Amino acid sequence: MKYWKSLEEKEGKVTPSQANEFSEELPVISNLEKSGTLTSTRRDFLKMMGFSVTAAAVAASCEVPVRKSIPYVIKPDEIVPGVANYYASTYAEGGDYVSVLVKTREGRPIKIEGNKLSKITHGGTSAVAQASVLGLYDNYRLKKPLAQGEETSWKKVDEAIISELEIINAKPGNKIRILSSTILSPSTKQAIRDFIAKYPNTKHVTYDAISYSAMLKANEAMFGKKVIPNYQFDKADLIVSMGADFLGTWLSPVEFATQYGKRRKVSKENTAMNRHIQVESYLSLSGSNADKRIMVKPSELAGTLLHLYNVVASKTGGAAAAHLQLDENVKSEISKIADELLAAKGKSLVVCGLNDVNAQLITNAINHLLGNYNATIDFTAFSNQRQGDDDAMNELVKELPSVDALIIIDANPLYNFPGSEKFKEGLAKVSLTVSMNSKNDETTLLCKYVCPDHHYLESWNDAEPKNGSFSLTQPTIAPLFKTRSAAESLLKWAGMDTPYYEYIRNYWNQNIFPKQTRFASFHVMWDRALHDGVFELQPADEMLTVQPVDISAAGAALAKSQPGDGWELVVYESVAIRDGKFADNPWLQELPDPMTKVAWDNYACVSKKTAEQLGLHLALGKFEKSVGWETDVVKVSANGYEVTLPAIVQPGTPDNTIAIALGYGRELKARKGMSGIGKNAFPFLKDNASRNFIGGVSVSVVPGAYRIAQTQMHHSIHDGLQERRLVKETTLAEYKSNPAAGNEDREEVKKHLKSIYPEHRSLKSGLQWEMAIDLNSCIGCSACVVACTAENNVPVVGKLEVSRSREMHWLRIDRYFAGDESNPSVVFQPMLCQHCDNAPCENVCPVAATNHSSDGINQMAYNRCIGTRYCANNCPYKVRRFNWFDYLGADSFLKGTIFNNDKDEHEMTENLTRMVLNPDVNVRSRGVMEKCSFCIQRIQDGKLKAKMENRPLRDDDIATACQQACPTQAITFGDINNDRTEVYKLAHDERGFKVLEEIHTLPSITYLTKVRNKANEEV
Amino acid sequence: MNVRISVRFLFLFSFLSFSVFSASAGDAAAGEKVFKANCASCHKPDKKMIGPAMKGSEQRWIEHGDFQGVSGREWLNRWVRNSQEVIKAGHPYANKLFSEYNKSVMTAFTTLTDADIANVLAYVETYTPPAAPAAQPGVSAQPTESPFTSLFLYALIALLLFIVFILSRLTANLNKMALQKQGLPVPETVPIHKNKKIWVTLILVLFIYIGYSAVLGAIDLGRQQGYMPDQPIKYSHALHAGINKINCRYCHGGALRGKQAGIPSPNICMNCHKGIQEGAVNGKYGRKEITKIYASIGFDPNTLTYIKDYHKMDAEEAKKLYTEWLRGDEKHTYTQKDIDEVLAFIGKPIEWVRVHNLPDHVYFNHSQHVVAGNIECQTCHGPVETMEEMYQFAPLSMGWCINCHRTTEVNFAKNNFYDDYRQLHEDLKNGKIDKVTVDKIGGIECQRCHY
Repeated sequence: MKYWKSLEEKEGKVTPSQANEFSEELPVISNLEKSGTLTSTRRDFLKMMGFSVTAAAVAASCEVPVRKSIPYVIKPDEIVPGVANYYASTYAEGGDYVSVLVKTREGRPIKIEGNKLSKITHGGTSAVAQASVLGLYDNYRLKKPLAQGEETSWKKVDEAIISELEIINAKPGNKIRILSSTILSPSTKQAIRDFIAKYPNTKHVTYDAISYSAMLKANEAMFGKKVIPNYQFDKADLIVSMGADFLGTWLSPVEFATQYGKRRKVSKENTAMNRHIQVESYLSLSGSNADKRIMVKPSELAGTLLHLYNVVASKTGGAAAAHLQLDENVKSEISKIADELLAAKGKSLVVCGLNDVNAQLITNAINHLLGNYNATIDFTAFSNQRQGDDDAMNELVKELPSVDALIIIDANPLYNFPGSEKFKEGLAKVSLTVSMNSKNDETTLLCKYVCPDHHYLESWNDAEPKNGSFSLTQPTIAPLFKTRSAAESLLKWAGMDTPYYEYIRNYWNQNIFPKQTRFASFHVMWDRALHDGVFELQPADEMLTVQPVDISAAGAALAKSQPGDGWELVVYESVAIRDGKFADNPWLQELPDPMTKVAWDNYACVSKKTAEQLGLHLALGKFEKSVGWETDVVKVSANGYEVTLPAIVQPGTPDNTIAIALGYGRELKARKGMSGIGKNAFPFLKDNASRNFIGGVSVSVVPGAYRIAQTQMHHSIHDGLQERRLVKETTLAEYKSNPAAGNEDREEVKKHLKSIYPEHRSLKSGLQWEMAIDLNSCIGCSACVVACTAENNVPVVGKLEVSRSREMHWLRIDRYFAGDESNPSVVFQPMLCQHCDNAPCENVCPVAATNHSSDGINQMAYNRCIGTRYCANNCPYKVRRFNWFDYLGADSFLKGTIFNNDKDEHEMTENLTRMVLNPDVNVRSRGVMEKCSFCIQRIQDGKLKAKMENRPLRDDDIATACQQACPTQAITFGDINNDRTEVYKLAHDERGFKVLEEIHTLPSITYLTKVRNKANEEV
Repeated sequence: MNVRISVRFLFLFSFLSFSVFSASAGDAAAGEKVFKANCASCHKPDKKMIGPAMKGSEQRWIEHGDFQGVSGREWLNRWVRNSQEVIKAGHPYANKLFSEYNKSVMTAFTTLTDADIANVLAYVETYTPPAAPAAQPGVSAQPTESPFTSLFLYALIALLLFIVFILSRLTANLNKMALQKQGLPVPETVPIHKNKKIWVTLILVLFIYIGYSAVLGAIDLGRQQGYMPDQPIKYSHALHAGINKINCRYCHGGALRGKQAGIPSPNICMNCHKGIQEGAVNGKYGRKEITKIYASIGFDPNTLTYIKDYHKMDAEEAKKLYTEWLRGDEKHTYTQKDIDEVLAFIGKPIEWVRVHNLPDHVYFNHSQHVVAGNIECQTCHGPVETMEEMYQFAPLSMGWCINCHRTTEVNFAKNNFYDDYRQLHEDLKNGKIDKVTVDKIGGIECQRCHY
């Protein structure tokens, strides 16, 4: 099978030099040539050298600076300088939930790890959760409460708000409204109830930027429960997703990814792999992992769903619903899916990403007909993760001009509400507006008072993401600024002076403690819950009573959205930026989107055919030396809103369809260059139901080219000359008959491995570090990339540098397409230093800065490196990264001199931000090569722990940062010389292969063949 | 040199004479040992500390007379072995003492025999505070080369060079004379300053010398062997670790648990200095140095209690408290400069000057060496127990680290961690190797210390 990273590459339009970071000439030589001063270079050289030598001599003769060592006055017992402490906590932002461990050093949080004790996220994390620690050290968070835009004190702002509230409260028929995004915390909700008790005319409206309101309504109609049920992807043999990106962004991606990953682990003993079919209209993370992906136009998604229902209903005796005109091919595909679903009754799961009540009703009906309720879906541990109610929000907007007070908790409707203009008009008429957002964002700027909330890492809180699953957030650092938790503010205004911590404890004592039987004393229970971070109650089983719902009416309503002929637009959440709340986080912006590999921008995705039709003469991208890739710009308009965006050709996009990511175009006070990245796509929406399909679109090409930071062709292993088998795949059927299917050539390759060098492994018996990566369970979510960035002080280089192939990520995820150009299959391959035992980089280093350790690690001694870059050029995997500048302020003492090498595009070197740096890892300076170290600091730490405990190393002593972050546990790390380790088992598995093994580099990373669960006729 | 030796002798002599003096009191010598091992952390013979001054205690108990038919002296023995029982028994003097000392419970010394107690009492009765030594030792324990030896060497070299010069002139003249005698033409004498050979040699020598010293200097850049900065408190390791034999890890506990050994926080100092309020470094500083700790942490030495909400205390009030405390010292007088120096510590952490500095690109972990490697602190830090002022003993250079890793044996047989190194175990058994040193398990590879 031929794999390709981009269409340009497939068509042979990419030359190796374009993908090479070092193809650009050094500016020194070109500058000299330009100025024609080559004759005086010798003199310049001597001048420069003389100056340098003198400077060095002066610097060297200076006295060594006196360093202070300042102990605590009274040292807290739990802190030992130099030893990390881990605290269980909870990442809960706008309904997104991850149970985490916070790694702190000397009292400052520096890394987020997954909490393995959680029954929901099982130790998995997401890119956004990993990046949240950087959000703490943000100088642009609000530092004090504001009144009319002026900084003030809490006392003054409280007095002002309380007095206004009391005047409003005394007025008959007053209206006080609290507007929030989904609140998972039962204590905060209790605080809101207490607030309402004091101000009885208060109503709480929940609104989510990405709304799941239709699901709530459909479930209320059908089951009498206005909640989102508990989806159990691990119990489903067959998953059919209708436009729901459940691995990337839908509802609770970390939870679903861990469940999904469990069923993607294939071994000879266990071939019970799930099958995943995705129907969608843009290439999502879930779609790229699907065994079968059906591409439909945005407008067709509803019809496809209806057709699926009708086929299932006709075979199970359900009532028929309306039909929509559909492509015959799609129809027959859907019929096949229906048959498969019927064969997997009670073991299948159908989910739908449409925020349309009728669509959700139909989806529920399909699941009901298939007997999936109480099997793969239940209401016992129902989910609280999305509670936004569109109707209530619309009602609020309508009545806003007559509202007296509006308190906003963690919501930004001015940016992300469809029809934000109307909201803005209404807001201007509200006499008391209070925002508790922690940034001066679009909405907060227009509020009278601002009472900034803590960052979750400095705050007490709790969460109940699912019925009966509780979780605690504990502060891991004292608040950096004069902020206050939102619940505490509400309590204060309700006349209660209880600190929020006490309040949570009381709530737990009164409401959770009586419901459990494990602990006799509340204190013991509390301490346990605080230690574990999670606390589980056994909720009573909910019996489902299905209420009669008129499916045909729902079908008829859904059928009204007839497919149009013209352009269609779909807007979607991207894995890194999501709804845009954290769009000012440099780590997330620098993370290339897993699907398009574009960083620092959003763009209009079009199909190849559409690009040709539009006459985008740069439709396939144009390569400019020293600029990177440039693309054409298109103007997209719909619903009276228009944006100009760079157009990129994204395989997997239907024709005549534009797909645009949400979450960009934020306008807020943020780090340098972090505001106004990309364009806001929210205003395209008429209402919250329409994000999956927007009609009436017009598209035109705008003259000009746009520099885009697309990394897909950077550091390409393909040399374009030879067909290399970098990724391998097979089908489940073939795998069952032959465990080495797809990997048959490996035996042949191994036979030819001969070397003139002596055997490298001098210590066959000692520790030898190896890694195994399962291509089958890697879903490409990129949590590992951000985890690596946080763990190893990987710098942010900014858009310009990324576009010149200079991104610094030690771990990248190569995304390969194969097959059909318009709807390709996808393989993700995490690519990092392979720690070759015959490493080509080691041989070419003139100063032996990179060499091999006895435990199999390709070491990099930064202080020895003189920056020849020979190693990077000789690395076949292209995983070495060169510091073109001093990105993190390593040579900070040179600031202000002519030797200033700083390149800090986004204020990553200011003191507060540098607090996020891992003190156990060097900050590299300019001119130094770096690369994955297998998290050597974690290896050394794990070894030391075992040594001090006088015991052999255990398999779980060491986990690399990428391994720890992975929600599907696709990465395994350990000692290959020990046959009890997991990595030993995987490295000797028939599925195991090494990348470019034929060139005899002896890599230490084993990849496991991807297995696709294909139906017979698809093969 | 001579001066230094004499100082050492004087110090030693005074110490010896003191010992001889105490030994003359018979069982008091045995008592001193018992006292120092058991009592000294809370009692002083002649002064109130955490407990009362012990001088005269025997007399006080005897004076109190019989109680419940048991003599006062016997009650004292019972008190030492278990004071709480005596209090419970209702002994009036015991109860008075107990309440007088804030009801702090005295440790029960159940193992002390009657004879031990008698010895201790004999010791405290004969105790006289040591007189301050006449001279300030100021011993620099740095091993320095004797200046005399090197001077002698230089003189010798100069002398030899002179002889060479004379001899060469001599031979040249003799040659000249011989040539003259034979009637051969005599080459023109070139004056020394115009002799090219000499100039070339000189320049060459100078060049080599400059290069050599430049390389040496460059290698030594940033190294600070012998670095002995002034510290904010005149703290003596010689006293604490040497004379008092306090274990290093008592204060530097981080060495057992992690990367940094750590500088003790004042609350650790206070474990002892709650009672010990006066410096013992030759009595030179009186209360000054220890009061700095009190000022930092907020301890009122008059009432022996910590000041509540010290951070909120009025600065002037705190200044007054410590000024009066210093002025109240009968044995010492403090200049205003001394007092100001102490007052600067009020409410602030103590800013010690770091002696041992490693570059940022070096990862060093104390627990790896101290716990896993069983290395003595002194191996790298030198004879700390003799250092009045801390200085950097080892060069802390990479070569120094590596040399040690090449020669230091790993605790291979005893630590189960090394079970995984099967080949090495086999080699050991077969006698192929006789020991496993750190470098054999990769201890000199780059990324063990640089990452």
